[in-house]
Amino acid sequence: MTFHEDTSPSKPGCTNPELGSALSRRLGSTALPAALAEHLQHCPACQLEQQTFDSLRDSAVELPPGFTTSLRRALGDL
Amino acid sequence: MTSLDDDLLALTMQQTSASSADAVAALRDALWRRLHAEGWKPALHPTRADGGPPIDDDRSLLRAFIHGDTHAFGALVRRHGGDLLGYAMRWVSKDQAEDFAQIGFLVLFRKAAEVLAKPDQEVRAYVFTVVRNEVCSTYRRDLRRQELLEAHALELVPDAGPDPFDLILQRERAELLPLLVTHCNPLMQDVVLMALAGKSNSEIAKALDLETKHVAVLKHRARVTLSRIIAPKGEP
Repeated sequence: MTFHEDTSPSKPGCTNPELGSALSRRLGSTALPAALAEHLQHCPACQLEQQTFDSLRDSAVELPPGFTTSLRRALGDL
Repeated sequence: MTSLDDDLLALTMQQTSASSADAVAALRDALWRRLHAEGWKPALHPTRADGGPPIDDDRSLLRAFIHGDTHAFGALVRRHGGDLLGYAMRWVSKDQAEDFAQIGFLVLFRKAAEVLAKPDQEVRAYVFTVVRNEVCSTYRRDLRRQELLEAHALELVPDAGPDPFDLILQRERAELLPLLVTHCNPLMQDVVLMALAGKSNSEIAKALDLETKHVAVLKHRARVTLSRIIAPKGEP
């Protein structure tokens, strides 16, 4: 299995990449600092990311049998 | 029996697991079967080695995992795995989605120290970003591979002057964002977002490591997809 480890610090379309990165790290946080909350109100890229993150439960599925076992095996191979 | 009672019973059974007596093991198995048959699910609260309160937040679980707590590993995967797998399955095949969800956790576990070093880094957010990037990378690769698209792209509007679609996006932004979330793949989302930010096709291509014609194709696909949805409401 090959994979990328880049979690992409810059968010395409974000009007303020620094604040956008901070928001990406805080996805799921219940409280945001005022500056981040204000940025979120005005940045479509961050709004879309937030909406996508908030919708994760909507498409949740049961983990297939063997998923965790396979993951453990892959982790052991690293 | 209440959920709390079930959890306490399960915890008791975990603690008795140190005993090697066959009778206890048989009793434990029977109880597990009964609890699962009644719909009980573990509360995913691994106990701490020092007997302190159970670990119930992602960062503590990740920290416990890198210190060798295998329960913490399972808890993190069960907490978020289904959501991330479901997200990836919106855009790629089930097999590929499973790979991406696993990659998300593998990267998390490899980078656990870096994640924990950032006090504001949410664990779930980190894995989500990795999985999303994997989906984007896949679409980017597929786009480069598909020769047919190159011919299709030549028919699209060249990168000159404002695109009417961008103006529609600007005007209908609030309405379109939720549609982008559900109907456009992450790479398409990125293209549309950059168009919303006023970037030209060539600028978008450079930022997203694509060719300009691919940007045109993705915008075209987004236009078709979104138009189908909003057309009944009167927008061409």
